Amino acid sequence: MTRMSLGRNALITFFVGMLGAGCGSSDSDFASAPSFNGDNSESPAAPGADTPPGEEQEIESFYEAPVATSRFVWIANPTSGRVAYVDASTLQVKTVDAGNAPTYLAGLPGQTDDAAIVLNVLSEDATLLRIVNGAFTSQTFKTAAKTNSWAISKDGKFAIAWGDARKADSAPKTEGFQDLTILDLVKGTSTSLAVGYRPVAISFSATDAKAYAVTQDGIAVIDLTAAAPKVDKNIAISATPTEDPGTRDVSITPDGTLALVRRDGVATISVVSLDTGTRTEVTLSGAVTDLDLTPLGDRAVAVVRSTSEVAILPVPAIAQDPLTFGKVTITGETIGSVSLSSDGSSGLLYTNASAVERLTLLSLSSPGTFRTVRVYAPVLSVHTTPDGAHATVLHATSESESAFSLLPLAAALPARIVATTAPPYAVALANDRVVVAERSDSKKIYGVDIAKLPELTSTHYDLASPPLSAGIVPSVRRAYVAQRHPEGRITFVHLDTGVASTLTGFELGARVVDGSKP
Amino acid sequence: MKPNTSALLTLIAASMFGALACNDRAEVFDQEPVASSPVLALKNEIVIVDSSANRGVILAPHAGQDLERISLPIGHGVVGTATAADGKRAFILSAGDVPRTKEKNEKPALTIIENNAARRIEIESPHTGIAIDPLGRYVAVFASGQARAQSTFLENPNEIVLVDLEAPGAPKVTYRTLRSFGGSPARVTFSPVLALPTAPRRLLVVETEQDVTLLDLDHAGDSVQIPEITVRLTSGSSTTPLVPAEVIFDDGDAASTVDARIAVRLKNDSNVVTLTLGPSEAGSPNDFRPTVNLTDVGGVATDIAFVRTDAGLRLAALVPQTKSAVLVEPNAGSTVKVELPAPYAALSSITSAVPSAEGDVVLLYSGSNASVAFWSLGHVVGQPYRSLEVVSLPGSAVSGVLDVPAPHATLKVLQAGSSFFVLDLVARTASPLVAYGVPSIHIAPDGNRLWAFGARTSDLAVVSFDTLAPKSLPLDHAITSVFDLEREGGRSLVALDAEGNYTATVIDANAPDTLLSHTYSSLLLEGLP
Repeated sequence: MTRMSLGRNALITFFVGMLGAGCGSSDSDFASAPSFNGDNSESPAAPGADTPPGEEQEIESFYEAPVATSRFVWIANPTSGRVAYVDASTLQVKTVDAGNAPTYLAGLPGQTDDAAIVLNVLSEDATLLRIVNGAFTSQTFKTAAKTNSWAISKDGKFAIAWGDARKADSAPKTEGFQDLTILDLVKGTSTSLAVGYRPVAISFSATDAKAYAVTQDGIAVIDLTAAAPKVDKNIAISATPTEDPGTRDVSITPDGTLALVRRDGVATISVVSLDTGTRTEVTLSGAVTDLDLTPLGDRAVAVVRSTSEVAILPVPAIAQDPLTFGKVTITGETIGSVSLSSDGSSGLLYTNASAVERLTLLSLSSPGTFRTVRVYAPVLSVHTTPDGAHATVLHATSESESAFSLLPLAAALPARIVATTAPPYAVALANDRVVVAERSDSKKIYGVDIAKLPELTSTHYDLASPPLSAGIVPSVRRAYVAQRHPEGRITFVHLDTGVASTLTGFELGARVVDGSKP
Repeated sequence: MKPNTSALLTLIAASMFGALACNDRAEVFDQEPVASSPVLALKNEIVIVDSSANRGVILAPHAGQDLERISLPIGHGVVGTATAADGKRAFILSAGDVPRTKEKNEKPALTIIENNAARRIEIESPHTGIAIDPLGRYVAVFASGQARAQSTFLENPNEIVLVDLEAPGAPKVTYRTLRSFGGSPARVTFSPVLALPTAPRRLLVVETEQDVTLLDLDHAGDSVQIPEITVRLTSGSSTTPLVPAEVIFDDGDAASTVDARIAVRLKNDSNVVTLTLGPSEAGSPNDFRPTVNLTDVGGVATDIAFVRTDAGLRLAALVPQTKSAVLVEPNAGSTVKVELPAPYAALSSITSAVPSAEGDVVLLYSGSNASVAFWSLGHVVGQPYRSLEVVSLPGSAVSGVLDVPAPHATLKVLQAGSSFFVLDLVARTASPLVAYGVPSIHIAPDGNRLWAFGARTSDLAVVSFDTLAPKSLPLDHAITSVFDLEREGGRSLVALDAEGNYTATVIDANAPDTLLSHTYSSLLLEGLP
């Protein structure tokens, strides 16, 4: 279940390219994690040990960079109106026409073939791109204006195009970004409708019967089973109309019955029934600094930094009994954030609001069991492999001193710190590999490190251009790093042989004629 | 009959016979030799292409400064000539007779002169361009984009006529019309053997004004033709085509079959295009496919070369516009810029002459600079500023670099206006030799000497590479070209005056002495019917 955040002004966002399994592959080596926004070329300064802790920094994902499906990597070229797709096994490039200014791409999960969808910003439509038995097909859908983001259902049947105001530079207050378009990719229909002011996230229920748009006016519940999708109701998540929505952080259970709301500086978590609108308040020992929901939605983990306490809330029981939940105090440690493993069995507790070089692994199946690990640089973010056996820790460092760490979770082994030539910029994970792209625009240093798990060894590759995103195509055992280049540039590294190949000039590469077609 | 009548009749008869005899003179005598007929130099002879007489005149020196002259028929209407790299064959392309009204009128043809014999291969299309395979197997005939053969009203500029000289039996002629997106061939290059994914292969690379075509030479003559591969150099969104200026090849790692590369230098763009020849996709008629990569080197490159550095294979590009050289890592496309002390525009590999275990060594020069530089690529990545050594040539911009064969392969001859320099690649010294006038230089193929002469003057000199002492050998006729040729028991210099009916002087090249030379005049008047 993707976590949704309301209006948080993150200083840094981290981007991780979609791995193949989540975008069409059946491979289980899949992890999706947030992305590093390319506008921030400077690494955040490490919080000083003596300065009061700032806010914990959230991570979000953006659908702007290339996406990978089972076998292909798709790259949109807004200038030419074409989308290039690169066969990750042969590195052959082809381009296809999309609409006017194709910009925002998303891969479709749950497909037997490779499929992606792109938002064409200037023509205000979307193009569905599909490769079936080697043959390319496309279909165009009309979308609402000013959409710049995608939410895709797990089975790839629905795609929702919506507008994220945070991506729009200097959007006036009167621009509500309230129009979104629901594409039924099976029926081939598109339906535009309005939700509350400035949505921040869209998600789907486990059965894809409903979609939820978290807005500043509450949560819009959209019925996808109707003949035409419609907004069933809007659930207010606050009793105070003047509450600053920017301080809210909302998680919705996979079955779509409950929403859990955390607010900055507030010691309570609101549990809201999306069926009845009933709100239940759960009071913790102090201001809740982070809240995460397990993928199954059976537990919510809340962190109270002031008391170093972790609360484990049983879901949905907490809505009925707000006083009964597990608590663990991590004595002696400063924790403010949690990153849950993909199977929900454990959580990594850390803080990035102050310069702390430790994190704690807490077992959720055996509450009270935890282990603190030292990493030799302040923690900025933590990313777990799909199997939960390892984690990658990005460190908050400076331009001259940057690193990431590889941390075994399944075994009580020390972390391995890997110094980088530039601050980490993007991460992609598989069970046996970690890909970390580095970038320093001021020093013009660009590279990618590929680490092996469980060996914890790492190999560095220089890049010629600023990386934009990183990803892995597991089916062909290749990592890729998309880079900024006027003609388009992407570097592939074979995960087993280590051979790196760079493609530059997608438009030219697609115009090689070998006589295979008339 | 009265005696006066008989004498008159005899006189009339004699006059008639005399007139008839004058009218039987061959037409060739009514034609002037073509001014500046091509002269083709082979290992041990030269061939004067006397197109007006439809013949090749072979001049072969022998001991005692004798000059053997042999006339061999060549095709009618010469449009192009070339010689093989090994100096064993001369090629003469002819357009044939126009119009063809009689059986004896010739078709376009390729005449090959070898071992004092000529063989003629008829071809259907009278193109004017000819390219010779450095390995001696193929000849490519194509429309060169220059003056079209006057025998044609209409020409297919995308037709390549490929002659396989080593085909079983007789040379095999194959006609291929390449696909075109508007361009036509400007240059044809034969690749060396490249290790491609399925088998080693040679390619014919055809450059047009806007794309590069790869033709599989090993399958060019197949009965079922394999389509060529065209790499279009325009993105389709711009009206400005990228014009190729040069192609070079690298076979990559000996153990790999997927890293053979072709680099394309562009005439009008700061990118260099690299084609990596890898496996083809399923269903492709070709068993390899180029992956295209662009690398911006900061300015229009004037010369490129694949080089081995201390960090591995790189593509070196000279960019005089930025007074730098750029080394491109072919896998990642990353570049290292090396600042140069001067805007050098050309490079010449000298690794074979001065081997280095650490990497290639390259000589940099330019027609606008009075210096050359040695670039040691074994130190270029870690310490690029220490990889260059400049040799100044005060007041002399280098216009050309001539190789010297073994046993003096560690020397180069630098042409610089009225001077030239003998550059010692090992000692890195440059010994000037000054001429009065602009000398033309001819390096002896045996690597022991050079000949310098004033074009259209009678001035001639020889310089031994052992002593660098010039010896003056003025002749009594003008010189347009000289040839240091192999003969039995030694070598001879043939100094040729290509004006009028051609004059040649033969001198013993190993012991040059004009006293012992022989001069032969009116060479083109000999051997005519």
